[in-house]
Amino acid sequence: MSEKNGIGELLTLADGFTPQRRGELEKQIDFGCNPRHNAGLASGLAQAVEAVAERWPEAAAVLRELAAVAADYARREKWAYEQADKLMSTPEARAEMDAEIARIESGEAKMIPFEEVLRQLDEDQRLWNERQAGGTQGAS
Amino acid sequence: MGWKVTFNAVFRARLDDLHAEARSFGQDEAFAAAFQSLYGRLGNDPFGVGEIRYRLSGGKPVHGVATAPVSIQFAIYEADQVVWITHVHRLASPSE
Repeated sequence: MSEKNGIGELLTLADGFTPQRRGELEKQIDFGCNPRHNAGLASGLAQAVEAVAERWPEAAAVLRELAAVAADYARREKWAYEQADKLMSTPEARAEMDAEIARIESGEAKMIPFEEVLRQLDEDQRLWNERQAGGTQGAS
Repeated sequence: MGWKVTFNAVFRARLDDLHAEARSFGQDEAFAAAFQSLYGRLGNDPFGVGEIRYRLSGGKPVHGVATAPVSIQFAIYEADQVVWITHVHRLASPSE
């Protein structure tokens, strides 16, 4: 994201939001699961703020808060992708991925349904919560 | 859910470690929520999730998505309506 359309100011505004306020605002925006989509969304909202700022300052104030959380979301997402790319961009990681896909395509690798993974994650978390609460007697 | 989403059993074993690691950094709820969200999205529209990050030597595209604190890589097999999740990583928080 560039500094066009006051993005820097919007990020500063977003930094001042409480987590609760940030959550409320984020719920009002239909973020996608794609960084380009979300960066475009943030940029569009920032442009909308500028477009209405003079004629409709009240509308601009509402939009500005939404634009701020959108810009912050896009910033955090960009950072996450950069971290992920660092992990997967090495020749070793690429070679491992090549080999892994070959194993899957040949039927050599065992694949399990994601539902099963989610169930196990939930179960792990439930047991952990019980232990944290001192409930070491087992399942409720 | 129009697509079958599957997980490499090798990385399934590693997931427990990643979950424990996330817990130690206070990320466990976000970790589980990210998986839940990704499961729904991948099952409905895998091409709309993340981006193609690179291509394998045979030209097969590998997609990646990062929803902090989780990053996954996956391949899409359209003819079979299957998504294969091949790798999972935990992303460190900015404060780590």
